[in-house]
Amino acid sequence: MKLKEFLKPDEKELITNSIKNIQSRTTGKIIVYFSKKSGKDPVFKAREVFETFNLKNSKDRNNVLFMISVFDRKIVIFVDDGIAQKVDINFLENIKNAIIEKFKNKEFGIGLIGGINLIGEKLIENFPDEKNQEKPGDVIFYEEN
Amino acid sequence: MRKINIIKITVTVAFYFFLFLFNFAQVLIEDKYINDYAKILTETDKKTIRDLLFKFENKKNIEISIFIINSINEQNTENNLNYDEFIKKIFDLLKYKNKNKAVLLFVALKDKRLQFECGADIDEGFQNLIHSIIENKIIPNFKEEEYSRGIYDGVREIIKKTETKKTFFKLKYLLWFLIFLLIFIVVTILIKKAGKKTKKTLEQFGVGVYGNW
Repeated sequence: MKLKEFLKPDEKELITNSIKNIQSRTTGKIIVYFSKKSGKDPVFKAREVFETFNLKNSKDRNNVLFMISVFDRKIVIFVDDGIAQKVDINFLENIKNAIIEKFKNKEFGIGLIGGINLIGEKLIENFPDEKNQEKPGDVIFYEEN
Repeated sequence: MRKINIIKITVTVAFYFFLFLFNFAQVLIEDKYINDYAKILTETDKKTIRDLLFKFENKKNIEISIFIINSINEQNTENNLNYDEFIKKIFDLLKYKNKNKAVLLFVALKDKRLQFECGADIDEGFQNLIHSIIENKIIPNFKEEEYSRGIYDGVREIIKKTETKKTFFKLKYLLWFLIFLLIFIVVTILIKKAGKKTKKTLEQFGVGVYGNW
């Protein structure tokens, strides 16, 4: 299953708008990454992706990665140390479980938007952007070649 | 007067010498591959051996000739050449394309003489091969008075052994290739393992949760 098969164009647009809206109100950044496989250690792979996209070097260490391995049917939510200090691990677990519930019903778009909004609220709450402006040029979706 | 006599004698000797050489060549050399004056080979044998030698020449670029006589005395009446000189003379008279890559197998049946003459570019390995074939294939047949079989088996053996040598070299290269392939595989595995180890030493940061759907 490819990205275009996974998300309908309107769902993709909704997610993009949702992320742009969140990012305009916080210093944090959200990336959705589609990988072919997540390997034996999905968190490790997510950490590698996080480093590859240079998400680690933000000032507040508050970037977020949603890694979806379509082939393995796995999802990883990976947050940097800044957010990890602000939220409980159970909070992340709950978001992940909520997304999986939707994914099981093939409601991929709804599941992902829900998860992004939940974590976005925490980002806005803990890392607000005073300038409150959209950050142009940010690529939100990535697909592994 | 004396001077004129010397010139006359010299011219006459030279004339007869060239006449002798011409006759020698005309009489003795009939064929590039096989000259059988002892008449031990049938026409069929000759044809078969000639074909083998022709193919061998095309493949290996080595020209082999077989020269068979009963006795050197029957062929060498007018000129008292010794064996080596006689064989050398035959070798020179044979119309090889390249004498440096030619081999003459000489047989004198009644004299019980069997030897070979090689061109300058015939390597020692090939000379040893012919020597060994004479010893192990041709002479045992000759002792049984199987002359035709001896010559035929000898030629066949030369071709067979040179082919075997080629196959051996092919196997040798194949073996080296397999060794290099094995080394390459081992090195690749080691590099991958080393890479994995490097990955595990990545800095630990952030928190992640994952699950299946």
